Amino acid sequence: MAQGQPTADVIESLYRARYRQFLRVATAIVGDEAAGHDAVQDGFALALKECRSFRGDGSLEGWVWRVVFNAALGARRARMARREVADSVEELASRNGHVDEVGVRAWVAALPERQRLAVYLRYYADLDYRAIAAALDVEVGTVSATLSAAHQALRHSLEEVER
Amino acid sequence: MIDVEPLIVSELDALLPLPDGGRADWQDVVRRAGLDRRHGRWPLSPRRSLALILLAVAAIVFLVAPALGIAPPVLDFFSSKHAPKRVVHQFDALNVGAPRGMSPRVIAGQTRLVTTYHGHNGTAFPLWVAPTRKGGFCFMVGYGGGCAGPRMPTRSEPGDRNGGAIGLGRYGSTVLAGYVRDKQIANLEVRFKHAPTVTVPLLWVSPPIDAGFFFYDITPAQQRQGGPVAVVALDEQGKELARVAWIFRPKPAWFDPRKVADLSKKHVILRSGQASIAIAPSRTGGNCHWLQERYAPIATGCAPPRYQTVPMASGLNHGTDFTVFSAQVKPTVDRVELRFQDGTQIVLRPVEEFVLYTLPKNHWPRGHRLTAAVAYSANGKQLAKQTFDPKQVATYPCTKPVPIGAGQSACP
Repeated sequence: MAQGQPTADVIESLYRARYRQFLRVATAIVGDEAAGHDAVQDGFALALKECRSFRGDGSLEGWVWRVVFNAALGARRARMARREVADSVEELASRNGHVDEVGVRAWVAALPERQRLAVYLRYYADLDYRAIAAALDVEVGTVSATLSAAHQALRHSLEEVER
Repeated sequence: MIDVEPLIVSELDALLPLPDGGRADWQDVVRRAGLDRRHGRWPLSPRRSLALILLAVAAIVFLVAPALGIAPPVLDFFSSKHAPKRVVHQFDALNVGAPRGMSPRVIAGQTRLVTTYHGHNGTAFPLWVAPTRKGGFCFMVGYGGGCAGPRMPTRSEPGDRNGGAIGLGRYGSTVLAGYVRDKQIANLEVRFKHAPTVTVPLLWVSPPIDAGFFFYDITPAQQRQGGPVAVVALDEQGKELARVAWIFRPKPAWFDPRKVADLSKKHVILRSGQASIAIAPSRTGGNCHWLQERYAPIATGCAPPRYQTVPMASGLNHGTDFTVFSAQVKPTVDRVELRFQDGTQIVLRPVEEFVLYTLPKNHWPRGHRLTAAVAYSANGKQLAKQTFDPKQVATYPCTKPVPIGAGQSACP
């Protein structure tokens, strides 16, 4: 079967093989495992329903990642509207009492959205740059630059703490 | 400078460890998609029911399916183990340095370990497979492998039958491996000159790979009995669907200069820079030739008279400090014109049906490189034209190779 015509079976195979990674990234985005699970389920349901719209000019897995992201980002926006999500370093720091205890986690949370998603995909889903590029629908070079910028921002934050 | 990567990894791991998969529920996904009636495979069931269903399925697959012509079991590609970085790197390297339009565009990050075969002496041959953006796949088994397009080729070598249907490779002296795509193919047989025929199992892998892989390591005993003579694909009823035999046929004796060249008559016919072409008559007719740069052989071969079917067969060969153009031409070719990016042209006259030209340094940089070789007859008629991509990497020497991806460097 050509890549351009994914069947439900292929998407089901992806779900069974990679559910834990999808859940981990969705949970990181949404901020809660139950909500993350819902986002994964909704994302895959949409992918299953809309699989005919997959253009076939990239990886199927990347396309499904995009669908699940959008579900997770939607869930996150809904939770933010209900004030269920800590969205800033200050807020996370205040919950934990001291910025040193929050450390890298808070700075990751404070990264711009694309950088944050790239970090999640790199370290939570263990995707390589090509797969991340497919998932974010950007060029590989953009992934490299995005992760580099994220590292730079984190390095800068750490150096400030060390001073 | 702080290396933040280990910190990110440890902090993110601490923040959110990889969850267990206990919540995974495909049936719920199907329900949410509103497709449960159409797509649902089986209702949610207790483990015992599931086990019974799996047993029944297994019984059908292994006992009944072949008799009924039902498709064989398929290995789920996405469930296969991801390849380690070392292997991903090797697949990535397939994409770099290829002539324009020739890159397989393999999605190296999706490389997976499909299975591990074992040779006749127990040597492990892992089968790594990755899809390509063209809709095909690349694979490596042990030290061999290749890439396949979205469709099997239809061409067939003389003496074969539908040979394009079997993607057969011979790796080293004993390993036969490859793939088939036609689902009608139920069995593959390796047939030997004198040893008994061996049936080789097919391992079908799900889309996006969508192919059946095979592997066979010829034993020393089978080698002693004349070795293999063909690989044959059969359908369920044993009807032959395809056969490849050419790969086992010995090269004709006239092909090998060591066997047929009269070395006492070997002499140099062309020199250009440090490169030279020597020829010697072949005892089977025609000539043998040797192209070399200083003491390094570049190409050699023998051909009977009138073997060449095209007016000109040309190519660029390169090393760390040279690039050489050479061509073998038909007797009707009077001259070969080399055209360069900067507008300059050079005319070469064939000697004994060969031309040779070592490109000087001023034609190494971009903007000055070779773009075409054109063969003309004595009356000025163009007989052949071959173009060269001046942007092709690793064709001209340079002082500073640049990264071309996948950890490799080459002259731009």
